[in-house]
Amino acid sequence: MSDIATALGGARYEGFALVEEAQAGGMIALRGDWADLGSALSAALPLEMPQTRHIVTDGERSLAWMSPDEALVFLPVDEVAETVRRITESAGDAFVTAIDVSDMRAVFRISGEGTGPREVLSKLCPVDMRSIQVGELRRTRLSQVPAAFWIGSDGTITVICFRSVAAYAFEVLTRAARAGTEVGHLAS
Amino acid sequence: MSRRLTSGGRYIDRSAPQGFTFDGTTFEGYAGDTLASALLGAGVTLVGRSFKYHRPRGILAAGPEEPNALVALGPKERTEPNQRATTTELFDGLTARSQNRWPSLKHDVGALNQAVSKFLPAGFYYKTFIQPRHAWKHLFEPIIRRSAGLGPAPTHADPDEYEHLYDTADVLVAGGGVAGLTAALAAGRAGKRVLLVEQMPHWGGRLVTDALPDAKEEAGETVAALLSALEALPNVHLRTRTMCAGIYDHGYVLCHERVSDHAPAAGIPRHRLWKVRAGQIVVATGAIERPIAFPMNDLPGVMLAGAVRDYVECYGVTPGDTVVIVTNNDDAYRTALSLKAAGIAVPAVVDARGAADGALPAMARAAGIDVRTGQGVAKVLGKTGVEGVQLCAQGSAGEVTDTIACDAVAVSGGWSPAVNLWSHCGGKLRWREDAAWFEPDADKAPTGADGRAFVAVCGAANGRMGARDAATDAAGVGAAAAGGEVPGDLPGVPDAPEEAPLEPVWLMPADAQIEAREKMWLDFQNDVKVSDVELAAREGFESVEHTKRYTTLGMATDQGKTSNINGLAILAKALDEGVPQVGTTTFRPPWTPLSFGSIVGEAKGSAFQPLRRTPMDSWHEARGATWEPVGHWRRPYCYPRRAESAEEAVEREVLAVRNHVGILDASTLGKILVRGPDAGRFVDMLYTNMMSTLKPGRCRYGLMCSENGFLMDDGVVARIDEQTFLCHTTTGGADRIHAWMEDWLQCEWWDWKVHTVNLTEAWGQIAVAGPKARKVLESLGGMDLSAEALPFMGWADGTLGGFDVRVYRISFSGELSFEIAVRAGQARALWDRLVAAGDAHGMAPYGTEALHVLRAEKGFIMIGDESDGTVIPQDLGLDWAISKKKDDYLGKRAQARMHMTDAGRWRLVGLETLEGEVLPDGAYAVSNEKDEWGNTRTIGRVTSSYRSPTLNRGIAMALVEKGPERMGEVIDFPIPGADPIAARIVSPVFYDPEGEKQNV
Repeated sequence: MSDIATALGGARYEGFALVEEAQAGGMIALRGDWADLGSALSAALPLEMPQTRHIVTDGERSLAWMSPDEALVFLPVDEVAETVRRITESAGDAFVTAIDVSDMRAVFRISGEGTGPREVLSKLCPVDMRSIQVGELRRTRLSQVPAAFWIGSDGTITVICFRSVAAYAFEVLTRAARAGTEVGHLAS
Repeated sequence: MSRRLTSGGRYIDRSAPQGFTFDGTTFEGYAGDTLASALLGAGVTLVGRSFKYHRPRGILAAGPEEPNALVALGPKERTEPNQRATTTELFDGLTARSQNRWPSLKHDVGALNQAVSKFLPAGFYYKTFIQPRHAWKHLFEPIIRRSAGLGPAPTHADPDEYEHLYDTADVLVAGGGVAGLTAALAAGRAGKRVLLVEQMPHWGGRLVTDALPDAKEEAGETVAALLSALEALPNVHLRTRTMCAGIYDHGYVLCHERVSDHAPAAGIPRHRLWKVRAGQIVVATGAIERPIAFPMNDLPGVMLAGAVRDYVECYGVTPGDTVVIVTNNDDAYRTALSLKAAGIAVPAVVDARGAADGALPAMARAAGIDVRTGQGVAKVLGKTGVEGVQLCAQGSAGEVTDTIACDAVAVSGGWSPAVNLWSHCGGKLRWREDAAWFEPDADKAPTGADGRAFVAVCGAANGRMGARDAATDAAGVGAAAAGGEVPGDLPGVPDAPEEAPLEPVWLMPADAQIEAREKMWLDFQNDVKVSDVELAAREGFESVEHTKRYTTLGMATDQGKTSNINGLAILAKALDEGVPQVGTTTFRPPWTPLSFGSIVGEAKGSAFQPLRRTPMDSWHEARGATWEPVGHWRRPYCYPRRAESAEEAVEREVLAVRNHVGILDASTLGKILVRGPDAGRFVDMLYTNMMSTLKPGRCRYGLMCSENGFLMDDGVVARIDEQTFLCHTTTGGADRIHAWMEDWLQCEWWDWKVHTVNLTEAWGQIAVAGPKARKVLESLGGMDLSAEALPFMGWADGTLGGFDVRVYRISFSGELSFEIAVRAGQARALWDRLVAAGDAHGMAPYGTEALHVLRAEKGFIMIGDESDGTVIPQDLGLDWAISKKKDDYLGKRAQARMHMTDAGRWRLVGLETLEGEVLPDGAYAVSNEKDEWGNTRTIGRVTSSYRSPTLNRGIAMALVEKGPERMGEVIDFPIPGADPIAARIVSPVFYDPEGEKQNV
C-alpha cells in the first residue's frame, strides 16, 4: 500500500544534523497486562518484550514499551492486518487489545556527526541527552507537543509524534538543527 | 574629563576600531570595549537621568551592578530598553540612546523635580495623590508614568531568535574568576561532568586587575594555566557570556547566554536559555563594591574605585585627568597605584580611617600620593560632572577644611560578597562585624530533597577576599562538590599584601546635617537618599522589607546591588539597631535581568504554539479557507470565493447542503475506542443514555455529564462488535474525554476490563451531506449505500472508489448525510476523489459556520454554545437521551438535587424575532416585572443566533426561565444603545421537525 501519504510528504532539512520525515510504516497499539501482552506477542512477533522505557529492535520490526500496560509495535505496513489478527487470536481469553494505528503518527529521523542529533533534541526535550543509551525509549515533550524518541545503534534518533502536529514538530526540529547554532555541550 | 589612554587595556584591540552612535552622535571605540568603556573613552560622562529627580548620571561601575548607565539599544522599532552600558559589548554599528530625559540628555525638563524634591519624599505618591480619588487614574498616574520611567518599549515585534537548551551537570560552577576556575578544575579533576559559566566575555575575574604591578604577569599566567588545565579536561564545559540567573529547588539552574549580542548575525539565536539540572552548584560570584554616602555622591565622575581600575587596566580608559580617591579600606589604594602607573594625577587619597598604615597605603605614599586620613568628603562640586571635592574631618558635621580640584572621584566603601545565588534557594547569611558584610553561613546552605546541601559557595562570594585565600577556598569547595580530593598541582596564585581592616562608614561626614543627608544617594537608580530611609524609619517602618517597598530602595533593575548594605546600615542606625538585627531583604532570581525573548525561546512566529492540521489542511489552505481555531486545530470557517464576503460564503454553503450537497472535513472529531468485556457497562456509566443495548452496526447519539451532573460532551457512539464501542467526541473534547475515561478506569473502576485507545488521528473523516449525498458517493463505486443496506443511524465497512472505508449514516445537518472514515494517510486522496465526483452534483465544501447554522436550523445543541458548564441535559430538553432504566450514570445523582430539578430553571427554546432580525449572541432577556428589590429581572439568554439562509430570517436558541412552558410568548432583549428586540418563544427545531429529510 504505497499510496499512504505521510503528513509532510517526506520533508527534509539539513543543518548541523539531518532531519527527515520518514515513512511511518506499520504501527500496532497494544494494551493489556504486561504478562498477557508478552504471551500474546510471543506467537505473533519474533521480538523479546522490552524492559520498562525501552525498545527492542530486530530488522524492520520493533517493540516499544509505552506504559505499564501499553506497547507499540513497528513493522512493515503490509504485515499489520495479519499481525493484529494473530495477536488477537493468540491472546485467546486474555484481555489484550491490538489495533492498527499506522496512520496516527509522524516519524522523524535525525542523523549526523557526533553528538549533533542528540544536541538537536537537547534544545527541545527536557531530557538528559547524555545518558540516553541505545535501546532506551523516552516519552517526553518536543517543545510543546508530546513525543517519544529512541537512539539506534548507528546514532540515528527516531522521533515519533502525533500526525496533526507533524508540521510543528518539523518546524522546531529544523530550527534547533540550524547550522551555526551548535553548542557542543554534549561533547563534554 | 574621561578619555582613552595612549596605551594599555588588555581587553581591547586598538587595531580594530568600532563605530557606534549614542543619542545620534557617532563615536569610535575598539573591539573588546564595553559600551561604557567606549563612551568614557570618547569623553562621554553624562549617560542618563535618574528615575525620580532626573539628576544627571554617569557610569558608576564596570559590571552587572551598574545602576546608572542604562541605555536603549537598537533602532526605535526594535529597541531593547534598560540595557547596562557596562555589560554591553561594543560592535561596529551599535546604536544606543539615553533614557528618561526630555527633550535631551543635557537639557532635561524633568530635572525641575530636583527643585521640588522636598515635596517628593519617600512614599510621596501614597501621601500626595490620595484625594480626589478619581484623579489618580486620570491625572496623577499618567503624569508620573510619563516623567518617571525607564526606557521605551519597542514598537515592533522582536525579529530576533532565541532558543532553550536542556543540560545536566554533576557540578555547575557559577562565576569564572580565580575562585570559579579553581573550583571547576578541582571538580573536573575528580572526574565529574562540570559546567562552568561566566557572565562576562573574559575569564579570570579581577585577578589580573587587582594584582600589584609586579605580580600582574604571574596573575595572567595563573588564569591561562587554569584555563588550559580546564580545557584539557573532556568532562568540563566552559561557557562565557552565560549568566547564572537563578537557582531553584532540586538543583534546577537557569542560565542566560548572550550568544550573538556582540556579533549580530542572521540565523543565529540572540540568546539561549540554559535549563540545567545540577547535582551540586558552586557559587563563585565574587563581590560587589559599595559606594559611600557623601553629599552629591551621584554626580557623573564619581565612580567605584574597583571600576576605575577596570577601566584603566582592561580598556585603557581613565575617568578623568585628576582623580581623588575616597575610601575606608586598603583595597582602594590599588586604584591609586593603577592610576598613577597610567600617568593620571591622584592629588589625594581621602581615607576616613584614623590611620592607614597597611602595605598598600605605604606603597601609595611611596609613589608620592598624598594620603589624608581621618578625612571625608563634605561635598562634591560640579553640576553635570565632578569639578572638585570639598574635604572635612570625617568625625565632623562637614565643616570644609580643604578643596581639591579634580574631574573624577574614585570611591570605595568596602566590598560585599555577591551572595544572591546562594540565597535564591534559601541559603542563610551571617553578618561579619569585622568586615561589615553579610556572607554565606555554610551551616545553613540550601538543601535538597535528601536534606543535604546542594549549593556551596567559595572565594570572594564566601567572604574570602584575597585571591590566594579565595583560590584555596575554591579548591576545597570544588573538590568537595565533586566528592574528590583537592588536586596537588593547582596553578599558583600570586601573593598579595596583607590588608588592614576597613572601618564601616555609612555616613560621610559622620555628623552630616539633614541638608547634607538629602544629597547623599543610596540607590542611584531609584533616587533613594539617606534622608528617605531615615524618614521611613521615623514614620514607623521597622521591617526592612517594608522600608524597601516604601522607599523603593533596591527595587530598581539592579536590585540594589550597590545600595543594599548601605541602605540597611542607615536603616539600622535610624532604628538604633544592629545591621544583622535589621537583616537583609530577600534575594530572588534573576541575578541580572534576562530577556523575555530567551524565556519565550523558540515559541514564536510559526512555532508560537502547535497548530494541529488534518490530512486535508493543505487543500483548505489552497482553497483560501477562512480559519477558525478549535482547540489547537484550525478548521475552515468557510471557503469564500473571489470577492465573496465570509457571510455570503456561509449562506452559499448552507444552501448548497440544503439543496444539493456539501462536503466537510470532520477529521478533528474525537474517536476513542472503548473495548473489553466490561465496555458496555463502562459506556453506560459514561453516557446518560443506555448504550449497552446498542446493536453492532448501529450508532446512537449520547451525552456525557460530569459527576456534578453538568453536560460536558456529546457525540455519536458506534457499536463495532460485542466488546467494542467507538465513541465520537467534540473536537475540543477528544483529549479531555480520553483522560476522563482513563481517570475512571485507573482510579475508580480499576477492576473493570476495559481498554481505551484514542484513535482520533488515525482516521480522516469526511462528511458528505445533502439531498445528493448518496449520488456522489455511489459515483465512486463500491459498497451498497442504499437506505435498506445502510439505514439512518447505521454504519458499515466497505470500499468506496477502491478505498477501505467505514461509513456512518449520521446527520448533524438534518439532511441525508454520510460520514466516511478512512485511514489518515489516504484521507486527502479520498477527499480529492469526492470533490471531483461532487462537481457534477453542485457540491460545495462547507466550513464550521455553515455546520453551525445547519445544526441550529435543526435545533441541535452545540457543546460550548448551549452548554457552559452550568447546564444539565434536562435544561436542553434532552430528557429523551437520559435513561430512566439505568441504576446509575455519571451525574445521575447530582441531577436529582433540588436546584437541578427546580421548575424555574432556564430551559432551551427557539426564538423567532418579530421583524426577522438577528439577535446578538449572548443577549439577555428581561421580564416586565421587577424583582423584590425593584430591579429588572433577567429571565433568559441567547445561546446561539444566526441568520438562517434556509428560512431567510434570524433564528436563535436561548435558555429561558420555564421556557418550554411559555411557547408563543413574546419577550424583550434590551440592546445597548438601540431599541430592544422582541422575539417569540418557539420550538428550537426550525427546519424539518419531522426529520424526514435525513431519513431517506
